Amino acid sequence: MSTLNALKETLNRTRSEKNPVSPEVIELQDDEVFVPNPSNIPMLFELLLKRPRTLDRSIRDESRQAALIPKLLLIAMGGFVMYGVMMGLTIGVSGWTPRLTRLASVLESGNALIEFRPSGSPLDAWRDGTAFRLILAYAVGLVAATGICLPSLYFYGLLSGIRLSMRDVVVHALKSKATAAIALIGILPIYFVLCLTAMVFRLAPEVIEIVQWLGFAFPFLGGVWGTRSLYSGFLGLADTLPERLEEKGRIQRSIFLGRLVVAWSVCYSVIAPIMVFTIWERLQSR
Amino acid sequence: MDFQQTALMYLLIGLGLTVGIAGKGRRNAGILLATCLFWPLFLPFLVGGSESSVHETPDILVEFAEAERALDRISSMTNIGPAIQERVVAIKAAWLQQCEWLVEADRILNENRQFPQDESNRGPAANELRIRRDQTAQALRSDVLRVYELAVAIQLWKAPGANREDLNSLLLAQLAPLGMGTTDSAGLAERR
Repeated sequence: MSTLNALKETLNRTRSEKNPVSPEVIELQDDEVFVPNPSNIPMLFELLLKRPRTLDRSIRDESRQAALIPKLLLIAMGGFVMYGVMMGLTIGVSGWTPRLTRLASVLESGNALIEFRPSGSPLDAWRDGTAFRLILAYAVGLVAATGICLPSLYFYGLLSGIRLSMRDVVVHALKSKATAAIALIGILPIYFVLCLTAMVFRLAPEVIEIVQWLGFAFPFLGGVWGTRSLYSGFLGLADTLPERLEEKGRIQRSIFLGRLVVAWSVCYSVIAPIMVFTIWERLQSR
Repeated sequence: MDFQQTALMYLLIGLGLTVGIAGKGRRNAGILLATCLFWPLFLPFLVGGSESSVHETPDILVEFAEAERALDRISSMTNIGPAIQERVVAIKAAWLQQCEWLVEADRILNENRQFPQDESNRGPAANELRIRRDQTAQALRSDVLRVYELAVAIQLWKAPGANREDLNSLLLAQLAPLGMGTTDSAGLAERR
């Protein structure tokens, strides 16, 4: 056996003694230390889709975190931009362009949040910039909302007693965003079929309006997968709970941690739509 | 502040941080753009300080594996005496111990860096461990370099007329100071 292999074995042994893994990730013991380094985006994409638990182990390695951030961000942005392009096409083809009302005005006078106006040609949404504003608002807004909510996620983590650095929080949050973006790409074809049905059968404007509303809400549906990813990633960190805790205490803390992550996700679900809407409306009013 | 002023302030901070990391030597346009636009996500990595001392081990492992292969090639030469074979085995064992020591030291230092608020992670012992860790890494690197030099020397020694005794003496002299880096566990135990 080469010395390097012997060293790997020692590393595996040391890590598993220090950080006992939960039974559900036991099958990953073989590659616990030398898990595939997601050095390129396709590999990271594959890990997000097929081996999320391995990725959870991998992103705990601090030496990989800095390199992972731009890649995860790129996947998330790519997914949101693809979604935006799809929505832009839908808006153009549907012949109804959304016009956003200021939130303050909605609260004061009870105006509709989004007003749909008839447009001329399918390219109008691109010519007048509606589609580009939508793409920018979603791509930037969803990530910016994560940035705003990050400190609270860090605080929640510390509150539950897990060992956590701000870097861990950033990587976990972006991993959940990338997962949500991938899920969004996955459900886009279904939405495409829905849109096509509405256009081909020339359904009533009210139905098209509902289809567009559904489209605006799709990133938040994709966000459910992201939340699930964040939840499982954070629960994996429960093995860093203080060793002095008894088994019962550890279980209680883990449950508390899970609830805090859910609570954070609820906060994010409120902030993200407001952020997206505000950016979109501000860009529109310029 | 209205939306435009807020956006301007945000971008100005992002620009400042981008110039900062560009000054540190990272010139990848994509990363610089991402930092400028999404600087809050990169901030923990920017203010976290240098990672070089903590993440040296993987590089050492790669060099170590290459040096180990070079040593194996030396020991597999037909005109090598048993004393050298034994020395090669001893060096490899010493290197393994040093690598284990480095990995453990890195783990402890990493924890110190992550949780500086912990009282036990402060004080002169942590600094001493850091210094000794760097010395051990340096010693290991020097060993690796010496093995490379040795491989070159052996190539030269293959010239016509070279005799076996001279080669063995040279190898023994060259291999003598290898594998002397720190593996003292006392420093680690003190920090645990």
